[in-house]
Amino acid sequence: MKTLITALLLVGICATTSFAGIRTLGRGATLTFDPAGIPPAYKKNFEIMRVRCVKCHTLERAVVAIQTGVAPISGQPFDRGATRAYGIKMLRKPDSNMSKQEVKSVVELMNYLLDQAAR
Amino acid sequence: MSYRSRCAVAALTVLGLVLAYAGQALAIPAFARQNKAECSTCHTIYPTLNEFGEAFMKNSYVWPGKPKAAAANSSPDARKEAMLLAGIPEMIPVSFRASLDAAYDPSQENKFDLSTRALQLQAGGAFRRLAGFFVTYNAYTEGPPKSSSTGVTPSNNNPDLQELFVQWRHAFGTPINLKAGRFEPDLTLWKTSNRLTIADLATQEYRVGDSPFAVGDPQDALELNGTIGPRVFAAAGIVNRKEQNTKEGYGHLECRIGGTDYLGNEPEVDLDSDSIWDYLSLTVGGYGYFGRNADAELGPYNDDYYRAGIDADLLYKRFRLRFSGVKGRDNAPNYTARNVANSLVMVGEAQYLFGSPVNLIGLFRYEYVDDASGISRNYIPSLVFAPIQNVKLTLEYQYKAESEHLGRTDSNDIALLPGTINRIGLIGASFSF
Ligand code: HEC
Repeated sequence: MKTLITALLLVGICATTSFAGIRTLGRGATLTFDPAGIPPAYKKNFEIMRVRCVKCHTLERAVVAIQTGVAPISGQPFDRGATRAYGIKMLRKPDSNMSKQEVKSVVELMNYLLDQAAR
Repeated sequence: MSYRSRCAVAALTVLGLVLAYAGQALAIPAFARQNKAECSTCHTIYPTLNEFGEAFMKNSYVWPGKPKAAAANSSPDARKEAMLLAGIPEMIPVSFRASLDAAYDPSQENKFDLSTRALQLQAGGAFRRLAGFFVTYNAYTEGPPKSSSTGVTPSNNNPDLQELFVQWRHAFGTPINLKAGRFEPDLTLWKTSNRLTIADLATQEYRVGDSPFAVGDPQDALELNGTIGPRVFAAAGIVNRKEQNTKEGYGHLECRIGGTDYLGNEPEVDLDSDSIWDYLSLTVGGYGYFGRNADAELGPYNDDYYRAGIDADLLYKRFRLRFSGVKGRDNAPNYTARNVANSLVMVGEAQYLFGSPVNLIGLFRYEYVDDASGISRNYIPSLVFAPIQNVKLTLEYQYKAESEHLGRTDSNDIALLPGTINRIGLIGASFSF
C-alpha cells in the first residue's frame, strides 16, 4: 500500500513539474520567464517581449496565460489558436508602440512556450 | 498679486490637492474590480469608451466571449460557487465618481466660480450571464444654474436617481435583449457620459421652447435591442414620460465597418502585410424619436414633436472624428399656440491622443445650434489629461457666439438679432474609485 501511495505521489509531483514545463522567475508583478530556459533561437523574441509587453502591465499576464492555458482576465482559452488574436489586440491598442514584426516574434515565442508548457 | 492670479493659484492648488489625493487612491470602480481588469480595457481616457467597452456595454455588462473558464490548476473556491449559485456578483458592485469643476466666466458677477462639484454613485454588473444592471445616483451635485450658460452643470443637476435599469440578456433564448427602467434611450452612438469634455454634446442637451425633452435625457422606458450579426446593432423602445398619458417611441440602427465588432472580436489583421483596415473603423448610426408633451399650467396645446439624427464615429490609430447631427420639429413647444419650431443641431469633433509618456488628448469641437429661438455657434478646444487611469483633468475653453431669431423674413431667410458672445474658461477634475 505504502509503495502505491509513494508511486502515486511521485506521479503527482512529476505531473505538476511537467505541467509547468516552462521555467519562471519571481512572483506576482515580478513573475517572468526564466531567460535561462529560453533557447538561443528564441532569445531575440524574448528580448522583444521583455521590452514591449511590459509597457502597460507586467509579464505576469503572459506567464499565467501560458502556464494555465487560460487568459487571466477574459477567462478565454489561451492556446495556439488564440495567441495571434491576443497579439493583435495588444498591437491595436492606440498607444501600444509595437510593430507588426515585433508582435509576430512575440506570438511565435508564445506558441513555442505553450508547446513547452504542454509537455 | 492681482485678483486674477490669486484665482489661478487657488485653482492650481485645488488641482494639486485632487492629484495628491488621487495618487493615493488604489481602488478602481465596480466593473474593473469585478473583472480584474484596468480602466484602459474599456476606456481611452475614462469615461470615454473604446470599442471593446462598447461591446461590453452592449453585451449587458457581461464579458464578451464564452463563459469564463477556470484555469486548469486552480483550486475550487466554495465562496465563488455559492455566489454563482445565488446569482450575486462576487463583490459589491458599487463605485463612485467625483467631479470638481471651476469656471471663469467674465459675463457673470461671480466671475471665477469654484462651486461646481458632484458625487455620483455608480453600480453595475451582471447576474450570472442572464441579466445586466446599471445604476447611477447623483448623491450630491451643486453648480450654477443651467441658465448661466457656463455649461459646467450637468443637465441632470439634481440629487436624483439618474439611471436604474436591468437588461434581460437574450430573452427567451432569442438574440434580443429586453431593457427596462430608467435609462438613456439608445438614440445617439454615445451615452452622454461617453465624452471627454466638460460640456455636454449640443445634440444631446439642446431643448426647444418649454419642452422638457432632450435627446440625452434619461427616460422611463422599455427597450428591445440586440446585435444583428457582429456589426449591426438595433434598438427600439417606448417611453412613458412622467405625468403624461401618451407613450413616446423611438428606433435606432447602427453599424460598424472595421475595428472591434459588437461582439468584442478583433478584426482580422495580417501580420505580414499592411492594410488600412488594420486600424481604421467607421461607425454610423441613425435614430428617430417621436413624442407628445403637454403642460396644462403653461397652455392648452399639446406639443407633438420628433427628433431625427445621424452620427458617425471614425477612428484611425490615435485620431478620432465624431459627427453628430439632429433635426427636430415641435408644433407647440410653448403650449400656448400652434407655432411650428424647426430645430437643427450639428456637432463635429476631432480628437488626437498624444499617449505616452503623457496620456493626453487634445480635441476641438464645433457646434451649430439652432434651437428655433436662436442660433449659437460654439467653438470648444479642450485638453484632457489622465495622470493615472481613474483620474481625468480637463482644461477647456468655450467660445459661444449666440444670436436670437426674430422670425423669418419674406425671402424666408432667418433674421437674427445682433448677437452676444460668451467666453468661458473651465478647469475640471474628476476621479472614480
Ligand atoms: C498599450 C498597452 C498594452 C501593451 C503594449 C500590451 N498590453 Fe497586454 N493588455 C493590455 C490591457 C489594457 C489588457 C487588459 C485586457 C484587454 O484589454 O485585453 C491586457 C491584457 C493582456 C493579457 C490578458 C488577456 C486576457 O484577456 O485575459 C495578456 C495575456 C497580455 N495582455 C499579453 C500581452 C503581450 C504578450 C504583450 C506584448 C506583445 C502585451 N500584452 C502588450 C494592454 C497592453
